Amino acid sequence: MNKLKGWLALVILAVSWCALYWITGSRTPWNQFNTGSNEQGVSAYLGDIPVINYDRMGFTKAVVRYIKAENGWLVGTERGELFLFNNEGRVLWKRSLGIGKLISVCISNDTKTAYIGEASPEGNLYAINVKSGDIIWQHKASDFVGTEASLRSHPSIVHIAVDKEDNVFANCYRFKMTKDGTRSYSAKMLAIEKSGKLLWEYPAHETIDCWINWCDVNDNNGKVVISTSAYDYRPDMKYRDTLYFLDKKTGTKVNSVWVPPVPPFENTVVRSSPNYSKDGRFLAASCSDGRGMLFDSVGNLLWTRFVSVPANVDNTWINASGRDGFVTDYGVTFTTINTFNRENWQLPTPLEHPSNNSIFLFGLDGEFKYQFKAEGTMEELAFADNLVACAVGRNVRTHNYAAHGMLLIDLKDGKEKLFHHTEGPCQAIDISADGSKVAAVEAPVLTPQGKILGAYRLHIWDTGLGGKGND
Amino acid sequence: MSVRQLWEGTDAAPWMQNLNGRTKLIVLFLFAILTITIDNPRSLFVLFSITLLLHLAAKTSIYKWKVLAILLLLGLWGSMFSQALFFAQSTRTPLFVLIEPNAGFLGTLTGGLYVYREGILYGAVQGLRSASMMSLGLLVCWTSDPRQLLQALIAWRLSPQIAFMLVTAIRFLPVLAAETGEVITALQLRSDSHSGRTAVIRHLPYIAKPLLARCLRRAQTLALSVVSRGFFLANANKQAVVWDWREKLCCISLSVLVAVIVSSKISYLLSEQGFYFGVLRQAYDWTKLYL
Repeated sequence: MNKLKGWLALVILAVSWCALYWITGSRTPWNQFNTGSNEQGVSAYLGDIPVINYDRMGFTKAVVRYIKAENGWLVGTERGELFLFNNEGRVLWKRSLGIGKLISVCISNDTKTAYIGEASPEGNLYAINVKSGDIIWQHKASDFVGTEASLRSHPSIVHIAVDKEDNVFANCYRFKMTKDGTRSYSAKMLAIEKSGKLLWEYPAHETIDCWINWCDVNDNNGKVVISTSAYDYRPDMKYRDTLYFLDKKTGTKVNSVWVPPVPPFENTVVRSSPNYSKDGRFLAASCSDGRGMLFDSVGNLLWTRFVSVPANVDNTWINASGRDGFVTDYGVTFTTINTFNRENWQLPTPLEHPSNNSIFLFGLDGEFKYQFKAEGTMEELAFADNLVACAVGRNVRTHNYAAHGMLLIDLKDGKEKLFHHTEGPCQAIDISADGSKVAAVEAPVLTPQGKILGAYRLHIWDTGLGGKGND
Repeated sequence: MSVRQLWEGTDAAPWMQNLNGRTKLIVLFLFAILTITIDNPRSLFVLFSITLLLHLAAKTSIYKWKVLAILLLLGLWGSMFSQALFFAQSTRTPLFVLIEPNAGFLGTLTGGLYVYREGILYGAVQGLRSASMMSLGLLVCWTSDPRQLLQALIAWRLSPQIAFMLVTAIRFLPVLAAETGEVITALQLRSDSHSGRTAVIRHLPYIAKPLLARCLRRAQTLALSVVSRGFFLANANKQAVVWDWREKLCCISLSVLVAVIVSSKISYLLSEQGFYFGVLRQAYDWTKLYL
């Protein structure tokens, strides 16, 4: 019996060795039961971040871009980390860029350099070698718009665009709220050569007293356009126009356009647009009040359409803010986000606005073609010919958690091609140039019931629609 | 096999017994650095398997294998079970629910008891670290004459007094085991109860005093013996043992390998803190995948 006990220990050791081989490898027992992995694509964890309440206004961010030169995905996170993933979800390299949150990205035309903007006490703009991850150069937004750590007023590089010569155009701003509740803004537009040399700054000797969230540049018309988007509108503000058009070589102002507001709004806010058409003849802008507009290259208004009319229901103004505006080969695209109460963002609304969470397509002549309505906010759009990939995020009105995911729509007819659900809301998205792969970043949320949904992770899906398959 | 024989290096393969003490100590030290440095579960598993293969190559006896198996199993599964139940890091995924949070008094008291997926792997990593070192440590202990280790320490110009005390500590392991066995046997024979007479656990509370007395007596004898032989005289330990060049080469190679692994790991950790260099991208990749 004792002999048997001794041999039993040896047998258990041998079995344990086999079990450890299994546990320490990828063929772990729990992965054996993980069904639907092909359908759901691959996912990669991006690290721990604070889980934010579902209804909070400011939400978790991330940036993702397809890198053709490496056939992979560049991902920037709120943890200040930058990753390059391949299509199988393997990290090719990873580096930390400090304590800032990476909030904006733009890729050079040859896809060998990435320009990354962060929100941090310094607000750095980095040029990164995509192959190696090395920093080529960097500029601090704090050198241009200042920083006040005591008031938690940190500068950010909020948006970046490049022209065909890979000159970089970046919006940097800083927002300050003092103890008595007064707000002030400091913003500047920077133009930087590919080599890192500062070309110009606008304005040259002061800062813009308003938020500037977006810019676009076009080589065909030689202009840079900036949109303004302040919360409030005061008579003493110097930069009160809605759009500013600059010469892209010198940074001198060519024109500025003031767009009159519509009731119940006091000013016109253009936050995530405008964008030029490829040929530079048209400019699409989407206003927070629900208007979609098409301008010519110097800001002459061609037409305006209400994609979401503010409505007064039970003495409450509700609207679905407009966000994106793009001129594509198939028409002019505008998007709207969740329904909001005009009085306060977080107050409830009696009903959902019928135009919320939608993508609209108009012809260049302003003719309405279709509306596609999703169940949650379209956080970001990415285009590949006739395909548009949408990151579908939260719906703070219905709390429809099944809405979260990646949505692929055919721009030609507005029909849904593909939808992949993600547990948490999708916050960032990009699509490969041929439309065969889509990558999106999912964020974790805390529901009002106290449940955590999702995680901070990257998803990569094979659309099966690459190349000619788009048709 | 007696308890004393169990802890002595008498029945190993000759090639293992003949290895220089310096080689054994260097390999043990470098292996310890490796097990601390490496976090990758599969790489740690490979290290653990290497130690088992060395036991096979050294022809460790079946009896010793059984003892080794019990010690390793206790450490490995103990670590895995405890971490699976009490894993506190995030992200953690419950595989099974042992006690529901609303399951009466126990549920309220514990707040629910779960088996966490990540905890099993974390426990396996920690268990593999300790198991690897225990396995290799026992191999050195079972295949070395304490004099080998003493000569190695003195060759490295360690004070003879400190070297002697270190080796005596190892030498005393089998002695202590044999003494304990004898005390327990005596207690069993003296027991006036017939029920559970041979049970070891029953006699454990009473072994401390006789064991301490025996150890003190033995230590006194040892001290007299050492002094009378003039062990600590300047020329007493000058008999140099030749360190084979092949063993030296192995030690140098292993040292270089460990230095590369440690440097790679440090550079990777620095890259995560912002000290990133693109030329080291391959090293970062390698570290992430295997270390």
